[in-house]
Amino acid sequence: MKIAILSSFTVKNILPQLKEVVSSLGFSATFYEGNYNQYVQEILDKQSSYWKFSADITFIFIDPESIFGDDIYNSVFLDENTTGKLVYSKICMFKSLMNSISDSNIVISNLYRFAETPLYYFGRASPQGPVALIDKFNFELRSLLASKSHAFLLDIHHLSSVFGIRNITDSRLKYLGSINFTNDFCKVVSAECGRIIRAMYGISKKCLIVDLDNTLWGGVVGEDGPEGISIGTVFPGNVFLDVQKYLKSLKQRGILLAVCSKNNMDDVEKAFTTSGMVLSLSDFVSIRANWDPKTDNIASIASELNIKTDSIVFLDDSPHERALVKEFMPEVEVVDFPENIEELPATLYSLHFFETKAITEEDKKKTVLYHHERERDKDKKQFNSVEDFLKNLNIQICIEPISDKNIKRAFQLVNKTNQFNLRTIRYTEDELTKIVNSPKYCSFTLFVRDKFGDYGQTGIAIFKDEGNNYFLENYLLSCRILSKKIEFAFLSRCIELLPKHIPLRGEFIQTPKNVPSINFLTEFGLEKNAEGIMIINDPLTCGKEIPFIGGYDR
Amino acid sequence: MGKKFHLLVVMIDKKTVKKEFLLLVQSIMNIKVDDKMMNLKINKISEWDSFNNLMLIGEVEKKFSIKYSANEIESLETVNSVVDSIFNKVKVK
Repeated sequence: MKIAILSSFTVKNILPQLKEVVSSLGFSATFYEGNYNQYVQEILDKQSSYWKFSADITFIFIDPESIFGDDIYNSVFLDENTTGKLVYSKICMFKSLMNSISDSNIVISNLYRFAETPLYYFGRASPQGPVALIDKFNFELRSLLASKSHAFLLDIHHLSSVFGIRNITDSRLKYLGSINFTNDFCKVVSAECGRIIRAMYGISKKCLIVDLDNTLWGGVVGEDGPEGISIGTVFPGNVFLDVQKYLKSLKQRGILLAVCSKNNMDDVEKAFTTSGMVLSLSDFVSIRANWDPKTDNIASIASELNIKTDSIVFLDDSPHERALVKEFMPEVEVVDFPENIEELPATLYSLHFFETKAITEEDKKKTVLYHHERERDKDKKQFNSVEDFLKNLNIQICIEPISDKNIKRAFQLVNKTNQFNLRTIRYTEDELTKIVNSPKYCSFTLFVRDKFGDYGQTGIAIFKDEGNNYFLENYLLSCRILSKKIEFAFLSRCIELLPKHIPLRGEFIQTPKNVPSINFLTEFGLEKNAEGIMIINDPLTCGKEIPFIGGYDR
Repeated sequence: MGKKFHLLVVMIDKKTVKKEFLLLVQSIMNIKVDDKMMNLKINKISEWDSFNNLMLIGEVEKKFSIKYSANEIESLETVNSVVDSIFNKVKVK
């Protein structure tokens, strides 16, 4: 990974910590440091060392003095219209910088406020004052960055407020070396950069498994009874109320919630009827209330949800249970439960496992999708053969070209799908946009529904035109639609939609996780030719027709 | 009580200051300073640029619990003068 750091001040002291953060995410990175306050020239001059470096991620750090210069002191004497124009002209400059960097993800910091405001109270209160100028700029920058898929906000304003504005700078570093941030603040900024990279590359956990007693509510329901547990407006119930609100918001944005608790199911059901509960049983996709070892329960939840245990986060107040999970399932992220319960909400807010740039429609209905799956499982038991069950499901598929309408979810699928994924080629959202717009590629996405409900957008097929043949560069299906023969129907119909009828080349690249797709190309009809290339000359004839899978339009 | 407290303060000698300081130099600038270099002007040592000098002073301040002003940092000339300045600050603490 190539990371360029451009800035209006010396920010070299962030490098050691940023390197550490990036390597903890599993990337090995090389860095480019821009020249002091030359970022505009370096970006606009396509011959510059910055462009020769060809960054994957470009960070731009800016400070209020370099953006507004003497206007920081003079703006109170200008009229509102003029200060508005001033901010607008700066934002336009960043817009054009952003547009000229289309090959790299771009992260721009917003402006921190001053600890000592010029003009004292008046400088803070005046609608044209320095604080207003900074706030207006930050407001506009946020909207600008949100409008582009390859652009990200580094919210220095927020980080400096939390850290204390007075502590972000050391006057000696500032006046002797133009170093605006102390090493301690650089550490905080690096951690945030790590979160941004997680959102950029879709590195997110899928499921949070929680304990109940003294984790979602105060007290032990099996001993204190449902009336005896604390949840509500009085301490400690108000702490757990916030914990539940936070979990609900995670669920709403697509993180699966599951319960793993040493309890009787009967007591658990009663507890969730207690007044004041924010969460209900239906917010959880899976519940294990029993006395089995938690590691067994976590493994069984993972297999039920068809996810890997390395995409699970575990929250439990018992140090013993946490130690067991850490010891025997090191791939599970175990939350460090705070010693004092009032710190639990803050602990949860500061987790970095669930970063995302956007929330898709699929994310919002994920829990419902898993409940539909449960109904399917019940239904399956009534049929003698898998084929009879599948026929009865009334599966319908809809194939659309990847476009603005569906690219956010397509990006998620490309980066999160592990099991049915022929080549596990990941793209950034920007790379994917380029492929979608390139005449060399045909890219499709899949929507599926059946009698129990909508599975949503669940597959990607990307064909590269290699002249004499197409190459299946990316082919993947979400695990929730596997074992239904949909992979055959999807590829057959994509082939029918391709503009040219030429041979199809395929490739399988094995990873530790994609065993479920190992035989797919052969089963579909591709064969190894004399050179060892998997290919089929007339793909139109080979696709397996799956008569019970119908089509629909969205 | 006050007297007793003073007696407990561990006196640090110049040799130790120098040794600890050179370890910091090594970790920040990746250079080993030998006795021949002690009288060199720091701006003659290529790794000892102004950025690294500021980072070094930051670490020195943490290590010895002392504080430098911008003027004091600016007036540091030779490697020896930095060691002297640390020792003088530690002494008066």
